[in-house]
Amino acid sequence: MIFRLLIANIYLLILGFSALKLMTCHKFQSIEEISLSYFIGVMLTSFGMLLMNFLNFKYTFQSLFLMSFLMLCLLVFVIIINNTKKNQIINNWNQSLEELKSLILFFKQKELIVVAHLYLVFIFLFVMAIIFYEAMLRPLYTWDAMSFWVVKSKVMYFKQMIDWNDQSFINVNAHNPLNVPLIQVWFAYMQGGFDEMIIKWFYPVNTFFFSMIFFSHLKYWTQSLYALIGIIIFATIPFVCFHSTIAYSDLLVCYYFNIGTFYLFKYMNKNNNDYGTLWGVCCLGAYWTKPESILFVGIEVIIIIFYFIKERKKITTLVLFLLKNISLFVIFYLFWNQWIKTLGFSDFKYHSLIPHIDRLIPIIGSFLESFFTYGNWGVIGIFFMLVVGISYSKIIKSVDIYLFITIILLSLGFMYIYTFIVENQFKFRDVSFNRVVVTLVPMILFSSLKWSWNYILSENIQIINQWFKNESQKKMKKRKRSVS
Amino acid sequence: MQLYQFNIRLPNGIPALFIGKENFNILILYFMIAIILLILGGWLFLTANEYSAKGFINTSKLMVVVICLGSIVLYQGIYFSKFIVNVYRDHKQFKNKSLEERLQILILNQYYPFLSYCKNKLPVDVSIQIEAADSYYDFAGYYYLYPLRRVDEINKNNKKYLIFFHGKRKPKQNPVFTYKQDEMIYECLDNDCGLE
Repeated sequence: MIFRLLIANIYLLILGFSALKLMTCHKFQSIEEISLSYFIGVMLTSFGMLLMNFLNFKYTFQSLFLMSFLMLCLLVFVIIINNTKKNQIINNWNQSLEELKSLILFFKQKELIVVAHLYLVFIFLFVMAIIFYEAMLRPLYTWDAMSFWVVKSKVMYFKQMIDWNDQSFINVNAHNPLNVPLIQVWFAYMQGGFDEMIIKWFYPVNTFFFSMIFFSHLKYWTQSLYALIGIIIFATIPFVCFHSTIAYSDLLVCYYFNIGTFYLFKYMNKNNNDYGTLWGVCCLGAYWTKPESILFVGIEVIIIIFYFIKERKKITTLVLFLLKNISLFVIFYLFWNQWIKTLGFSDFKYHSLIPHIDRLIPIIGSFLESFFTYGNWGVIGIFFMLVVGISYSKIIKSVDIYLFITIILLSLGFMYIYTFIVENQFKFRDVSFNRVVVTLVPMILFSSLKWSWNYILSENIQIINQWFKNESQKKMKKRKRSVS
Repeated sequence: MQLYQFNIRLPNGIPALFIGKENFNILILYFMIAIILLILGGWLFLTANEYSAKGFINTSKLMVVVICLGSIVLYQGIYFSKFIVNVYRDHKQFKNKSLEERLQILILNQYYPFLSYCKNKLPVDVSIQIEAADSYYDFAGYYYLYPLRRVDEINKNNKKYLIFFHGKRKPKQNPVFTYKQDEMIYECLDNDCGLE
């Protein structure tokens, strides 16, 4: 079963990689490319399954295998007939090999910095192994997983279709998009049965691949050692540890959205259109996972408009950017909402039409509690506030201001949206707020680490490097003495 | 109305292993962190001139970052150690156990045997309605009894079997079950089962 699961994951990587190569021209870091491929592969496969449902194909191992095979063949065929893409992939492959060679050479050095790298890599892998093991130990037992995330998969697995008449399927959050339930059905068929434990394999894998993307982005702006510290901090956040072992989708939507934000931020710095494309894809992925993402995407669109105005770019460039990158998201959003309405479901039973402004005080209290207290994020919130306090003057003068505004607007957006929630949902605000605020956490950790490096630590980095060199030289001398 | 009765006599629940919730006084953690930060801060403060002499720029800002990162690493290190302890406990509890046994021992504790009983007793492909004192039981019941169908709650016209489970969970001990009750399944021969 585990072997089949591994093959299924490799398939997702290959599918996502082909799609990534078709969408972009840029050569990403190898780790980043592999991890991105996974998230894109997951999204494409679940979209394929949705299409199968529209074409009235039943979900069986054979039909899903055929769908997956055809999808991969189609993408590979497009790459083969497109000479530019073909050459680009060959070039990228050579670059990846070079990258691997330089990595091996780096680790062959006998210096303290290499030991530090190896030590941190070991810690990260150990953390991930523990999370994986815990996820595989406990069967499914958590509330939301049984009430809608996994029960939908179970219904689709047994009915071999999306059954909108099954009460278990539509009982809670019938309007939710189906990325997670569909991919779980796909995994269940690929692994040869619906297993209450193996079904959770997907969640720590997501955390692992997101950590890789987080690492590559942080490394891009800082240094590899600091980025390694960053992913260890991320992977050991209590909320991330716990939610990676239970079958909830709040982390997956957070991953899609944060990957998108990292690329949007990179786009603002580098003006590379590929980053914009990836932002659009991630927005679609986030919405396809959970409908709350509409708020996140809306805020980012406001940020983009603000960016284009501030940078004095032409309005046509802005329109073209949005048309190119967000049109797929808008089309899917309209389609999904219309379809859900046609079926007679909507999320309005959870929302009131007028905001309850009197709730603002308890909402702010809950927000501050979930942001600053020990329970979920440790002391990352305090770190962020201190770094912003110290480097505020530098942040507002650089492109970093857009990331800062995104965080502020998202925080305000979360608080505002909670004034609309109906009373019986509002009383669970502390629990649900944590799950919403999780979307902010990678962004906050990323910006805290990036700004602390760029504006505080990098000034001292030469001295730190010198210290590392001196230490390794001292060790070498000691060794020589002991040998002699 | 035909009545199946099932008496369950089950042991008390095993405490849930949530991170940082039980058996750990958070004040001790705060105190430890405060002491370590004070020592770290004091040490940095005392050696600030030394660092400046070595060529470090913005020693005070550097101090803030080092202290913050130190506290984050310390804090999450403690949490993760606790997580590892929990994983080890789970490992001891679950090793060499089948899925059924794992569910029975920890996850749904006393409730799971009752669900297994229902699954064995009820015919395949019927509609069920679970009447439990806690909605967690509802969801867990419908989940683990699938493909037994959940009744259409609006129309209630395809109702066939009613499953009663009266126990309540202890507050803030999700998912610990610590009660002993007689539970039962009713087969509905008429449509309303006498519920309305």
